[in-house]
Amino acid sequence: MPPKKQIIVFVLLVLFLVLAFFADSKNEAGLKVYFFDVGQGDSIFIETEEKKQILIDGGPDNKVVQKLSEAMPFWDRTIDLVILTHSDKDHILGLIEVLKRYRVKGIIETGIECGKAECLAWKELKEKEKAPVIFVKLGDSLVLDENTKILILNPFVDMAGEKISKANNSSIVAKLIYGGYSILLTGDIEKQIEEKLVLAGVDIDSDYLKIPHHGSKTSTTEEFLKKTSPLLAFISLGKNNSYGHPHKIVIDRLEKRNIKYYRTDELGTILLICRLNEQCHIENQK
Amino acid sequence: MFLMFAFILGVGGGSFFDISQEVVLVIAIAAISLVAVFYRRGSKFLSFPVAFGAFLILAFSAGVLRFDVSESLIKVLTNFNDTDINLELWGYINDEPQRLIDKQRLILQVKEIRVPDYAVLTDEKVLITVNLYPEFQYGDFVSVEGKFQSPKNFDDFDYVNYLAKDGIFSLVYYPKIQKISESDFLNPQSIFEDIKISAFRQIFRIKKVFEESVERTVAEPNAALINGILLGSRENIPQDLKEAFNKTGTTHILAISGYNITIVGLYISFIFMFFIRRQAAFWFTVLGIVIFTILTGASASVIRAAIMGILVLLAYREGRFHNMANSIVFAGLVMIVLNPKVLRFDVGFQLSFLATLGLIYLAPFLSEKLKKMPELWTFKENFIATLSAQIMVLPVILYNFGSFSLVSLPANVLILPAVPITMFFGFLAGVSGLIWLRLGEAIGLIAWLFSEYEILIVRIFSVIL
Repeated sequence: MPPKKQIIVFVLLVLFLVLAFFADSKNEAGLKVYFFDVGQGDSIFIETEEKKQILIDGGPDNKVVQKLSEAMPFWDRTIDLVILTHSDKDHILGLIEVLKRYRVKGIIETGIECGKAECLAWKELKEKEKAPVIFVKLGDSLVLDENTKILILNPFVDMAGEKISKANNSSIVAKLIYGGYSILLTGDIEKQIEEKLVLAGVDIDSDYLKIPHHGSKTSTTEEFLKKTSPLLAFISLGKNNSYGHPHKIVIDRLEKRNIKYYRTDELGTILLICRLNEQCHIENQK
Repeated sequence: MFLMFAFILGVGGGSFFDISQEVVLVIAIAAISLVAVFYRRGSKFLSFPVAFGAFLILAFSAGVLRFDVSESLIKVLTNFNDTDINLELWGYINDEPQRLIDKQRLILQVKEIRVPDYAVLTDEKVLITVNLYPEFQYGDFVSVEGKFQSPKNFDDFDYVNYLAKDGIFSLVYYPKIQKISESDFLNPQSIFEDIKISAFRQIFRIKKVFEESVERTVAEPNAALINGILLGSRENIPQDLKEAFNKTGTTHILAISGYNITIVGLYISFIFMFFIRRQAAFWFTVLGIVIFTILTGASASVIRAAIMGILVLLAYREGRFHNMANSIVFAGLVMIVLNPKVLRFDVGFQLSFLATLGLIYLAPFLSEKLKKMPELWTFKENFIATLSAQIMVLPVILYNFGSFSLVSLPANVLILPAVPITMFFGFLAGVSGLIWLRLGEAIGLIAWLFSEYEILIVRIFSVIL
């Protein structure tokens, strides 16, 4: 290779790097919400119009890493915010690997004590990463960018340091608001908390709903659906899962109300795209 | 020289010896061949230490290979396979844990079978499948409690023999597993075993730190690919990509062959030559290759590849390929004598050997043809070496990896030039990522680019099929 060619190669490489960084700041304007197909579990990835990235839960294994690299540009090794709704395996496990591989700028969780192997690994990595950890409760809110914010609706009280045997009802419930659109993200809450939200008069009315607890019959009550009154719903679950999710009774409730639903076990990863002053639309990427 | 070729052909032609004969033959033929080598050499003094050194290395490798074979002959546990008996086994993790997407696979060296009042001593291996967390490392002492079963064959895969090759006859899924202390054992490990455990523990720890650094600096699936090319660890490469590599006959870039090791060696010596004399740099390079070999797990095939790689570098240092030819062919010969099966069944061996021959006979020819090309440090040297090795191994690659030779030829020709560059930047990204993450990420982009090119080629060609 003559010196000239070498210089050309070098210049091309530098150009490639510069291009990569500039492409990053390109603004497509709009909100993207991915319901990752991670099998029986939850993993939701949000990218705001100003390219703020939020990952909610990590699914039951490390599939989420592959899914993330498909959703994120390859030069981007940073996630702005990770939310762990609760510490059950099908929500926390993939997050551990994410924390290993990405620079995470902030973590939101309930702070409930957990001694399981995966919780210990998660705890150890959090300390190593030194990412700020925030424990949240009803009433807390986070402004992500000009048009996007997150409101925390559950748990009702600060639960940091508490010990509980079943984590489902301690799940963080979050309402993502983008301009006039709202998406309710419910973790694994069950009937009890749904009723509590309805009775307490918390504003759960939303355009889109992530069905709680993978469509289990212990969740998605009539009252809750009525109050949420979503246009569309998303169910995150694995094919032929051993729990029999989604339960027929939940599907019946949705169909009775003419709520169209999308299932990750049938469609693969589901992508909801919203732009201000435009209808949201759905793409699925099998 | 021709005698040696004749012998290799003879082995290739067919007869596999049984062990007692083999041992005798090794000695006899080694002696005869040694004489043959030195006879040809005549009075050339320089080649004496070279050939002698090669012989020492081979003797060592022979020891290692024999050791592999003689391991794990005790089989107590199989008696309990597929019964209702809950066994409690104590031992240590005797291989690098395989972290798959949803589970860990561990090989347990069982030392004691614990029963309430006493322990039965043994020394054999079992395969354990456990959850992703807690994470286990090589050398962890653990107790495992569960019901053991015999391996069963899959639809079209001989799993029983695959495991038997590594001395594994029992497995258990998701048992109760607990880390314990070495001092709890009834019978402490031998000093030899203790040294082995602590040495490999450190080595695998370094490997893990490096691999995780690559995973931090490069996006998937490229990070998995880079770790595959660099260290031969394939378990994180997504299934569909693995299949695409298989279909296009390019899987060999994910295995450690003499080719990879020669590239690694050339890079190491290139770096060292900046700092120290050429002569001293060579020995550091050899040391580097030895460390690299251990990092990849030091399987028999990698050791063979490393020996070939070192011999090639030696040839480079001497700058006289034809003088080295005898030693290298001799090395190949001894390997074949030790294990006649490598000639036919070990593709890694074939690749190493042919690549080496390419360097001996083709490289001088090519450098003659490319006289006009400027030197540019060692780039020209690299280019010629790579090209000549590639031309030689192509038939074997086509035969072994490409049932669809039409695609694998262009796929390989397009991919192979990118492999050394990917290795270089992947390694650099991993190392610099440990020092300063952002620098690692920047270099990782270049590594990503070249690995993406490889993935793209493989995907395109696998779709064409």
